[in-house]
Amino acid sequence: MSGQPLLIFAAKAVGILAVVLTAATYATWAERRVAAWIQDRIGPNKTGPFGLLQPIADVLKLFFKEEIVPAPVDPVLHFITPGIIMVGVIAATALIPFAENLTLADPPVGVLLLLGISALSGYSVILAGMASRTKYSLFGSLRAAAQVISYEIPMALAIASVVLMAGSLSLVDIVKAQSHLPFAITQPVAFIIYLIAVFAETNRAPFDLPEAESELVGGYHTEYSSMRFAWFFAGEYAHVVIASALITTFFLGGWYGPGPDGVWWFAIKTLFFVYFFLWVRWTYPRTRYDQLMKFAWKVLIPLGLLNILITALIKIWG
Amino acid sequence: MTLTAVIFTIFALLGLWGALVVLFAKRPVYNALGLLLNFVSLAAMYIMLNAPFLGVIQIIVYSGAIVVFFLFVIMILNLRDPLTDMDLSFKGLAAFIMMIATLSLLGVYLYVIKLPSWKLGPEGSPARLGELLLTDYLIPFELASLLLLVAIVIAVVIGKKGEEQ
Amino acid sequence: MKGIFALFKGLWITLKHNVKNVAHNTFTVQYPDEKRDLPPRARWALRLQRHEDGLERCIACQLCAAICPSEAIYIEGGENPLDNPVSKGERYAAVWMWDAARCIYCGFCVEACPDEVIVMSDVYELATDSREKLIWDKDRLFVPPGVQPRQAWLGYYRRAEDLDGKPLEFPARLHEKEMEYARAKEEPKKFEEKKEFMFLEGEYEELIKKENRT
Ligand code: SF4
Ligand code: SF4
Repeated sequence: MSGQPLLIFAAKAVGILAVVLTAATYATWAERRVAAWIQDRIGPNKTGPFGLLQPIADVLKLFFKEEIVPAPVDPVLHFITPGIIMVGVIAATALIPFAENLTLADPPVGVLLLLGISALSGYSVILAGMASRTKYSLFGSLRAAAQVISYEIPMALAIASVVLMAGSLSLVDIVKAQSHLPFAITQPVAFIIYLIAVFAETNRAPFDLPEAESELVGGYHTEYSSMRFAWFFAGEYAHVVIASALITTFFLGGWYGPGPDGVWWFAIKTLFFVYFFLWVRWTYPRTRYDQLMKFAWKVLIPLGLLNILITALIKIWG
Repeated sequence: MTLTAVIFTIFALLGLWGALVVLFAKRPVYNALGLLLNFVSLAAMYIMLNAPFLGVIQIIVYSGAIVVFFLFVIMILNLRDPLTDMDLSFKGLAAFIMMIATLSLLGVYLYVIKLPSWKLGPEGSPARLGELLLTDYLIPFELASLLLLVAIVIAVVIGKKGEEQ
Repeated sequence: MKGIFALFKGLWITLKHNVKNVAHNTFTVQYPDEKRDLPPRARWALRLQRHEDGLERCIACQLCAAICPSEAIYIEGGENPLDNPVSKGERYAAVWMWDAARCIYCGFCVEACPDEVIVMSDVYELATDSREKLIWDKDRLFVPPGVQPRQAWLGYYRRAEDLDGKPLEFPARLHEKEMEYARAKEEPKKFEEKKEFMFLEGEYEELIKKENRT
């Protein structure tokens, strides 16, 4: 917290968290509207202007719904797992550099910390299935476990080449290294690898196998209802928002942009990627499981390693 | 006691609790979660001891990958005792590889204890750590990777043996 | 390479649809605000008719209740008071109840009725919040005096031999259809497109013929 008064720091923290969570809530609304538009429908448009109050109505509905806990579940795990995903998201929020002076924490190992957090938030999905003790949930968890481990590697490799370019593990330094050219242009391969891996990390279509509705009912959250389900749901969208913010940070030069730099550039880029997430979800069909794993291990990881090698060579001789 | 000390103590106690859960819990899932708690508390303690890089790597590698694999195995084996199902006809080979592994581990130890202690500086910066690993500590570093390689070979051997039957 | 191109092509298609539908959505009917025209033979809630002078047509013969396959109709007959008649016959329906939840909208009651009392209307918004409200009583079933419910369906279902060679007549047009017809005369081109959805075969020509006669 680099010397600022505690009160200002706390206010900043609460403010940023509120913005991120609101964005996550409205991502659910955007998901439904975008899905509808892409499918030649209209989507929720009755609750308030343009249906903007729909997320609030949804939360109220979920809040008043009956909470069903099936008898064979593991009560302790079943209770704590929905929270884990939110903890991960909130922890990641603290590290994101929104603008030059709008970062809650900038530890020297920020990038690694982010990877660690994303690894830990995978637990909520894995444990949810184990706690539920039903086959659909268990299959969802199995898939999630394999998927999270496999795609963390290409993701880390992509970030590693960014770190090589920036020469620092701090997120603020990484953004500052992009003040002239974003890494999306200088590191296109890493950018694409990261983009693909992040879809698998957030369990979004076309890689949403852990919750593949057509085969696994609800996947890992089949046995969750009411607010516990809402936590998973909100967590997924918060994850999307955070992931978009991270793409912006790592590859699109954060708050830098043509014209005056500032937090608005960060917001615009992040919102574009939130839209991109939705857009992709409603465009591509779900991949098959073996294709998913093969793609990570046989395409993305070799490509990522090669990319690191080339980047390092250019760094030395270039 | 300063605030830092209080937090450190809390993490220490949490780590201890996790370790006890690993030892005494009846369900394998809780064992794995106890291990997770232990690892995370250890990572927090590393970070508070000015070794943020080590702490974060602890989280990524141990909590992020290893415990997930444990859970994976628990999920797949579901209540079966893995040891009774294992065929031990290839134990000669396995024992030989194990011996190599143990010896190289011993080598790493012997090498490391003779070196002067870490000179990471007050920041514990990752850059300095990388430098040290590739200069003063190059040989133990490489030996450690050899050890990992041996472990991987063992895993492949065991896996292949199981497949043939 | 072709596959990668296809990925972008897919994105482009969905983007086009997205942009188009933000501006203007062609297909969706905003249901509670806008309502679609029902097909002429749509069979929804029963309505009971009156004579032109306001007397109820039903004579409580119980034929409809007898034929109803799902026992959705319950009728109690009553002696028609001569000084203050309710119907034109000797008896009238003191109680006429129809259960919208039991009814399967088969239309047998309409065919069974000897006096063309029952018509199937285009009232299709039947949902309520309790089962009791799904049971319609006389007050709700009988149309108010002077109102003609929709009869196109009734007319169409009459068999040819019942007509004794008389031309098929539509006793009263569906209100919306007449509006549509009036509008059509102002906007002929748009109407041509809509015609085939709005009218059954030959219906429209009948309507023209009838209008030319008068
Ligand atoms: S439409 Fe059929 S089911 Fe409904 S009341 Fe008439 S006869 Fe009975
Ligand atoms: S509605 Fe028709 S069939 Fe039914 S009792 Fe009345 S007259 Fe008879």
